[in-house]
Amino acid sequence: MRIDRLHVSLYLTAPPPRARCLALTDSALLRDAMLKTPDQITRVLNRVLPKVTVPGRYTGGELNSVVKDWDAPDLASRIALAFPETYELGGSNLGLMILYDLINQKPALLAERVYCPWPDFEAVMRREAIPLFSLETRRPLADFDVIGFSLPYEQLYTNVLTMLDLAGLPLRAAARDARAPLVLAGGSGCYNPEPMSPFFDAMIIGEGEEVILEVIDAQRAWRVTGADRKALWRSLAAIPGVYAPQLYAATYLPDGRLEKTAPVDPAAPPEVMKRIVAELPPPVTKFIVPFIDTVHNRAAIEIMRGCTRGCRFCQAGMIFRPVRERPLEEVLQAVDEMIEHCGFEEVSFLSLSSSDYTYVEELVRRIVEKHGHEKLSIGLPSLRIESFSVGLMELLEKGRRRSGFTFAPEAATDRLRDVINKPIASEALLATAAEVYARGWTTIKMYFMIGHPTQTDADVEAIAALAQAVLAEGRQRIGRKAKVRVGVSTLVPKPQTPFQWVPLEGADRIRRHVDILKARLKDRAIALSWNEPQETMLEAFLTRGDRRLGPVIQRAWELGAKLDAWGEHFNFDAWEQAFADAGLSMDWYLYRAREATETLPWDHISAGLRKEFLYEEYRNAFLGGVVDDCREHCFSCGILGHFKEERRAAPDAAWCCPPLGQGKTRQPVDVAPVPLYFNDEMSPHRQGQFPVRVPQRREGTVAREVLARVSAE
Amino acid sequence: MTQPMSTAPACPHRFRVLYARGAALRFISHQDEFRLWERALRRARLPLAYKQGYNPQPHMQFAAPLGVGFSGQRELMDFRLETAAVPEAVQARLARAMPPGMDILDVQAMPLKTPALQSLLFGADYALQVDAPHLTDGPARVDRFLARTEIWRTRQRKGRSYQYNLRPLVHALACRGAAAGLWEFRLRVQMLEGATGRPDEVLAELGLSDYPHVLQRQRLYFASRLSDLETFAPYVLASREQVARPAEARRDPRAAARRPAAAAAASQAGAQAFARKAADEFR
Repeated sequence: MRIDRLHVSLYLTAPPPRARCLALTDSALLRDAMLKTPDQITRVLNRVLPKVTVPGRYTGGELNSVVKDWDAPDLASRIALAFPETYELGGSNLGLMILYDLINQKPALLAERVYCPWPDFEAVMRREAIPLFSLETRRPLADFDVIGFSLPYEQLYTNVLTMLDLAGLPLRAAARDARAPLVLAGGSGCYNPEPMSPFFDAMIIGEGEEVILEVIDAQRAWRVTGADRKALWRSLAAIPGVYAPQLYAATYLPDGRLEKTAPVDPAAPPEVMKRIVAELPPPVTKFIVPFIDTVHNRAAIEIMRGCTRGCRFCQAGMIFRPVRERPLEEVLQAVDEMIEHCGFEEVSFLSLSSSDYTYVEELVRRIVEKHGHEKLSIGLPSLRIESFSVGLMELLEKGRRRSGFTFAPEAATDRLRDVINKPIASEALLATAAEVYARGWTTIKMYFMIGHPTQTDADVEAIAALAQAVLAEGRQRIGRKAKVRVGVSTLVPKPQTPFQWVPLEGADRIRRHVDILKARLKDRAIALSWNEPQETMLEAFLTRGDRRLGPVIQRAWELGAKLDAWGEHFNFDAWEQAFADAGLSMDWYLYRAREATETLPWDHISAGLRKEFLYEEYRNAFLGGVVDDCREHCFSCGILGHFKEERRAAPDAAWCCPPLGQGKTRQPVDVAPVPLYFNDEMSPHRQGQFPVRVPQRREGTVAREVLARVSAE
Repeated sequence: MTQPMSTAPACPHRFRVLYARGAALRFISHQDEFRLWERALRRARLPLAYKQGYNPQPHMQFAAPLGVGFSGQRELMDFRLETAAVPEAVQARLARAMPPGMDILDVQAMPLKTPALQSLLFGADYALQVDAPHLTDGPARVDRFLARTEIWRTRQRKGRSYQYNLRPLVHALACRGAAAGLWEFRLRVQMLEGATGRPDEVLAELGLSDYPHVLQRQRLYFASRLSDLETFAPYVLASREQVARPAEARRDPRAAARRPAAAAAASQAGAQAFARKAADEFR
């Protein structure tokens, strides 16, 4: 059933008439041959499902799933929410759940779910001509008005193509006719939309809660006029936060670098600014309760969006700015509603840095008071490495089985942690470890990254030494029961971060560094795990690639690349072949340091951060300059400038950026990041705000203490 | 609810639920169903009792786990609550909390020391619906099946394949004819430890596995009910030893070497001890 689709010349020029005609006939023929109605599909499923693995992935009918009348006369639009991974992974995705809940609350809209089938069922679908269908009503995907794909990370890009193909839709937006559904993407993958841009009509930059409804309206308005697809792209491009990639063209310099990505249509803006919501909308409490087991089979309540710490490698910490907190009472009420609607035995409070949630202590205390006796387990991930966290976890896990305690220092020396702007002193880490073991945990999990800029062999050796030092603390407290698990991944320099200019660490060096760790971590109480360099390479070229990677992705998929996140399906040969077929060099994308003046493939997409801010932070990394938590000191990253209106509309306490308006500034503001201090090894002659190493401050308390200490000295 | 849930006594309270798992839920595993009950009880705010231990498990026991692919019309399970409750109130709350496709038919309070359902179970009836419009010889296939005395099938247990005789485990099989291409078969099998007739295996032996089909367990038979015993009175129940391939142990000398007779006997004893332990669960 997979037909090698004609290479319709891309994006800008209209395809030659014959090619377009053929492309349309392809997909039309394909869809004609497929089953069409839910009844037909159900009849075949009854026969084939008993023989596929985990048939419960494909049946729907879960508690809290919403089944609306497809043919209701007042229904304006039908939306399929697609997660390009298996049900087990996609069913746990909070972003998709938020949109599902939001859309289905509108009486005139209907949202249904669809996931990527496992290869055994994919083969059955192709054999039996089953089109990809929604879980709720078993409608073919092509019957929907809008298909919204979630693109949270790069390893699932090829699954988008599998799903479009199984739906009988042309892969490329330019080849889809006026009757085909609008194919959308959203999620953090869209912060560099270029590699996947040929396949989508529109890509949503930023938070989808408001803009999705505007997009649905625009699609409907276009649908009733019967105009062509270009008219659809134009009307979408007019919506702030929506990128319509087919209206842009990329040009390249003779040396292969990007010259610019610019609109080729007056309706398209030169830069697409992300969308945000001024205040967090009420949390979802009617989660779909899966019958089969999923990776995160639990409720998730977002307590805070964004992070103020400014770790330089962290894309989430940059793109989810500003920090917005959910009021405590809203969180507590959400837990009650969740138990009533779902009955989950576990709830996880999500944020990028739980310790920084203003009300975290009170939240934990009141949750334990209220639900401690109900066998409700509570997850509070992303705690900082400090004794405060140990106290919180002890309260939460009182009397229950204790899993490991997780530390994410990301680097093992004070110097390298200054480079990445995650300044935790090794002695503080060891003191916290001692406390963790002393209070009854037996395992500490530690996450590190290798391949940070300026990293030396000594920094890698320090990972082993730190793991051993932590284990020694454990042995001293609880003897031979103490265990350490070390997880090492490789830094993937991400778009829209200060490290976006950094090259990926070479595969040889990665292997050598992993070998160093393997040789030094032979203790049976220490378990080491690491990422395969090839998996890191895939992530790296997909996250930083340009428009020319679109054909590479399609070619790799044609050669059999799919489910790239699953070791057993990972097919690096297909990717190498695809690069060769496209006449492109994988190494050029991976190992080249970008210059400050170079136009980056995502420069026309803005996360609200000034490029100057990112570049200052990039420079500070090489100087060992540590900047403060921006709740204490605003460094004008750009968010406040771009989202003034939103800031004014929100209550002072809802955002952690300084409130706007006269007499409201409660924290210093600088036009550029001013380091607290510079690392002594890296910049012995530079001085920051303080002459000595100081911790990142929090709510003024540490700041006052430090100031007192410094002035006493 | 007629009466509030009492909170006073510390002794656990046992309930027995008769329920139907509908066709929509036939593709979930037993493990999935276990979790489904735990969550439904939490939604119903019924305080499920947990066993003691490092990783406490809920007090729930099923008469016969329903596998992937099956629906059940009259299934039974027991659970314990931490507090006393009126069965009618438990039933009303549970019925409201169940996901679509699960129907609560009855809830009864049980004495704590009743034997476990699993230890009383000995048989079941199934309805097999097969969507085969072009099939003409349904009854003949059944006759051929019943005429045989030995039907050897191969199954996997813990990664090792073994053979067993399916025929003595099937006590009744009938073809009820077809309506609009939908054939219906009725099946009665025994269900004893190591000697349980499986409907999917019967379907495969009839040569019907490849047609669309729905497998439904209609009822279970328990030794504690006189009428159930009477229903099965005409049949001779086969034991585990009687359905096993007699030469099996000898045919693979390495397997025999790995599992000497004494060890095999010990593991058999272990299995019995486990079954007895299950029966003792509520004592």
